[in-house]
Amino acid sequence: MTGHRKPPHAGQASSPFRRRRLSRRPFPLLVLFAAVTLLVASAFFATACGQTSDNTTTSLAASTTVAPSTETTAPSTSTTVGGSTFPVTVTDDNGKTVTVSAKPMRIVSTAPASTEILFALGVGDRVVGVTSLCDYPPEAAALPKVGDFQANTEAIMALSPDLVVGYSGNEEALAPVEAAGAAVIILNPATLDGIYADITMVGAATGATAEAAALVEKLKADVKQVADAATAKGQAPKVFYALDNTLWTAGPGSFVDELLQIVHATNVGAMQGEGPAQAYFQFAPEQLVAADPDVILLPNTAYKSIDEFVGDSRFAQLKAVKEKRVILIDDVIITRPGPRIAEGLKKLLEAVHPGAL
Amino acid sequence: MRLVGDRRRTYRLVMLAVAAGLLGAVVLAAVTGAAGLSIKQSFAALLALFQHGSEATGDFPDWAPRLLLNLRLPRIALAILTGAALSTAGASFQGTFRNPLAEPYLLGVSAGAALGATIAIIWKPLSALGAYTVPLLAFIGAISAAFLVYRLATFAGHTQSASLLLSGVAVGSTLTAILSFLMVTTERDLHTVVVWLMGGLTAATWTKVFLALPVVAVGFVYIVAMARRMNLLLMGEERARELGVDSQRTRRNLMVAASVTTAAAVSFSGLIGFIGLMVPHIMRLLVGPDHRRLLPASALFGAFLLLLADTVARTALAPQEIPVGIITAATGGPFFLYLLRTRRGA
Repeated sequence: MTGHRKPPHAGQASSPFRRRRLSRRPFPLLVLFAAVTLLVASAFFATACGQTSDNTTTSLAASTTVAPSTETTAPSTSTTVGGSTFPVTVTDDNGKTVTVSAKPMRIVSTAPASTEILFALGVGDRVVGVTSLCDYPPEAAALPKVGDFQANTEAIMALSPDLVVGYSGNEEALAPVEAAGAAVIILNPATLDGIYADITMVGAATGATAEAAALVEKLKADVKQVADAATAKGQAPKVFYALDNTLWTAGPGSFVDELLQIVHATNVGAMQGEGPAQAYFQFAPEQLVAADPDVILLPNTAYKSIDEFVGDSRFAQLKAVKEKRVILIDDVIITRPGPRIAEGLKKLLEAVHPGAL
Repeated sequence: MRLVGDRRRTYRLVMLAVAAGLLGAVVLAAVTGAAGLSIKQSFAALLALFQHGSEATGDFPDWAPRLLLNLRLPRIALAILTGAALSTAGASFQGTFRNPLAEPYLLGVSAGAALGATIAIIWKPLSALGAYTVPLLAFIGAISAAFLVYRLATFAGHTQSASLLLSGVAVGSTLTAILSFLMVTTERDLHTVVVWLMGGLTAATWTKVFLALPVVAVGFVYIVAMARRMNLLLMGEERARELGVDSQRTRRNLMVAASVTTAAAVSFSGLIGFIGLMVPHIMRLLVGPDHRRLLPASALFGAFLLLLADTVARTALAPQEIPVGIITAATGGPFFLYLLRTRRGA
């Protein structure tokens, strides 16, 4: 090892040994450089070709979307689909008025909840793009991806949508899509009523008004069933709902707090004097010991098993730990503000009041 | 002679004052917190805990002794351990490099630990290793990074300060780049990673204290035992060699000891900045550059300062905790500037 290290120190550039090393070294470097250049070049060409083919579809699609809009300028050609008469005007959760000129045939969703609403309304066959986080229903997961929690403008443009059902936070990424002529509606529900309103709005925008009405009706009935079963159980246990593995929890006014009220539980995070009365905040470990909840709910997105929590010596003496009421919950289905919310509520009810249903 | 006598007296005085301060901080930390116990109740519970154990009852909620035993006391212990470890390591790095900007994370320990911890958090199959996967990988990452930096800076068995500093920076930024890449490609665990990176003692338990303690203790004892040699190194490498110190070996051993000590602390507390940088400077101003005094004084003051910072961190906005790294950096930054300005003038 030291033998190899010596030459640079010897510093004799004229020795044959040194010269051979000098002449040998650039070769692999050159090859590497050439290989990298080639790779970059080919990658560039590949994307360039991909882009040109996309461009042609975009321009084709653009011309087809132009056609209906010229039609709608003529007042006589409004069409009626599934109860909605196009053009239809809706107000989205940002309070923006959006006009959908014709029945949308190429819909892009940029959030899991939006995707679930579209599929629950039966318009999934018209959805052409979703995000990589859209895991439900299975047929949605197979669709082309347009980003994760951040929408990718180019990927969406490439699909030439006529309707984008986005989510709060996507506004900036979706502005160019809107400028290109697509209708963009943004969802941001904060309550169950907000979810019902969103389903109704998406139904109107996609020509599925009747389906939306039926879905909302069904959800309301299911939620009422859960609420009745919960109230029938009498006492309301103290529940700590963990949002992650660092004791962030939901305070008063949060969506989780509403859900906990429906299943007749006392949300520890919303109890008097237990927090800064914020929708979401971090609980101190000490406070959890002092509050000593009856039930502790852990999200399965942050915990693999309850052992992580139960095995923590700080919490070994908690009532919920000793009485084995620390429960791993499927927090995605419970907190995702989509059409499976009633299903999520049933799971929450089962965790808080076992056997209530 | 008079000067030496003065120094000795100052040292005793400083040690006494800091020890008293530390004791005060321990009591303060034990009786304050987010649980809604009054200071009086906390005191009563603390006394009862020491007299009758964690099942003691009295003029306080019956969970209070357990809360003190399982939450506050291990957290106090971990703060003391971490503060002492970082400050000792910082003093030792500053001494071996004769560089006032040297700090415990000089050899890429922080970036290595951060990357290790992030991999442990993101890559789920690893969690099969148990509850201590994150500290374990952080420790391995920290040690590997330090080893890598040291190897990269060593040519023909010779290590130069400049090459060490540079390879430390280079390895650090490379690892940080990988870390950033991992962070943008993960969605689910981003929050957990960020919380770890900010550093904190929130999740302190006795197990963590007892896992970190032996490593930190051995590192501390070794570094203090080398104090005399570090003093000789301060006189310059030539001079040290004349006096019979193998400066190369001494520096290497000290770097290993300081990096391992840092790694042990960082693995359980995340990245806490500025303690390791500023504590040795404050102590050098007070007790002088003699490492036989500087090292113990730094350890004690570092323990005191981090415990105080952590108590502020968990009580100022209770129940919300402020990452302690924010407090150490917020106080350390201005202090460092002050030091820079006044030293210029001197």
